[in-house]
Amino acid sequence: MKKIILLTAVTLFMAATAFGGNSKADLFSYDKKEVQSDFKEINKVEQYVSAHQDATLHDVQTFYDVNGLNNQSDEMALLFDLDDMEWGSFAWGFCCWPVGFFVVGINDSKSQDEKTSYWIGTGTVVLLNGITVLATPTVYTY
Amino acid sequence: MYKNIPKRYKSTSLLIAFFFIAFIPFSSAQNYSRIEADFTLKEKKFDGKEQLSMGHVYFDAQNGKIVYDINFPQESVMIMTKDAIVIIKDDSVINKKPANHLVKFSIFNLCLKGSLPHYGLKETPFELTDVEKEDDMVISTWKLPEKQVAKKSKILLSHVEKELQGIVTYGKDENIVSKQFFENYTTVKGLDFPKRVVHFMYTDEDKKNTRITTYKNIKINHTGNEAFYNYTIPND
Repeated sequence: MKKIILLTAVTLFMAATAFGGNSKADLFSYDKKEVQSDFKEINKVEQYVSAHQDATLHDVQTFYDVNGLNNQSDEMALLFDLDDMEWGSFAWGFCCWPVGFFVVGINDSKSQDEKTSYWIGTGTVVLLNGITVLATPTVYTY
Repeated sequence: MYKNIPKRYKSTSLLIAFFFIAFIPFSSAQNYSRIEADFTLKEKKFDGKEQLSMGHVYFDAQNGKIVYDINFPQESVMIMTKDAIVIIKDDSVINKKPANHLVKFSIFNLCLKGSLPHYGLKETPFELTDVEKEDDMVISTWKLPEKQVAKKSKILLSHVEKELQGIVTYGKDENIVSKQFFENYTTVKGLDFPKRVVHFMYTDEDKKNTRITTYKNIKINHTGNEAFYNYTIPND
């Protein structure tokens, strides 16, 4: 009989520990990684403004307005610098932009930096092609 | 035993003892009246929009005004008084909204008064109803008397090593309406001040507003910048 009571008590204690585990201390924690992710873009804006003490709203108008950041891609374009360049994605744009469009351009698993790098690569090759075409003398043969 | 001590020494000793007793309270409790800091406020709103404000903030407990000298996104000054928020641009008031208790329960006022550990709740109708200890965290529960429950019903405070770490505020339906976390404490002139405050606000639709405020270059009882400490609000 004693064993049954002891077993029941141990089982109840384990169940209470396992299922009733929402302690008050849990209320005082939050997902720091989620916050970091949520503020990733705005942290870049903060860094930009901190580095440019005289930055005005006009300077960052393309990605920021008084009410907030409405266009993430514009923001990234403005904040993007050479340090952010993903050269692999740049190469996709530069060397083979049609394939790169699917591999990087519209691939949700790629970061904004990678996508921006791809479009810079594509833009660069289009620009170079344009210059080459314009610079090549046209020879008409009749 | 003391019979042989000359009378003049006795009176001198009494005088010294009197001075010690009279001045000990003043020497041990420093009077904090001013605080200023660089601030950065980042916010992700319920609708997904983001906002960034940066500048310098001044608070003088004597005149009870918090003055935010904002340099981003637009140069402007925001002043919180005991009953209003005033926004000034180019020396003109461009917006004025009524607001109560903002200064009283501001982090600046609470810190200078030494009320941050209990978040000023001792000076409110809230009553301490429960204290629990979980590992190194002490959690206290503050409740409003039932008749007074309006928007808030219960507030939980958590402390680690006597420093306020978090606040959880419940609405009248026992739902969590807000959480605040006070992090990265620093000590300036003997005063503990959190350099980072993370504030979550929740709606009934399970939407969340997150605000992160960080403070740098914190100065206590600093003289100078009188124009900001004693900012005169221009006439509307």
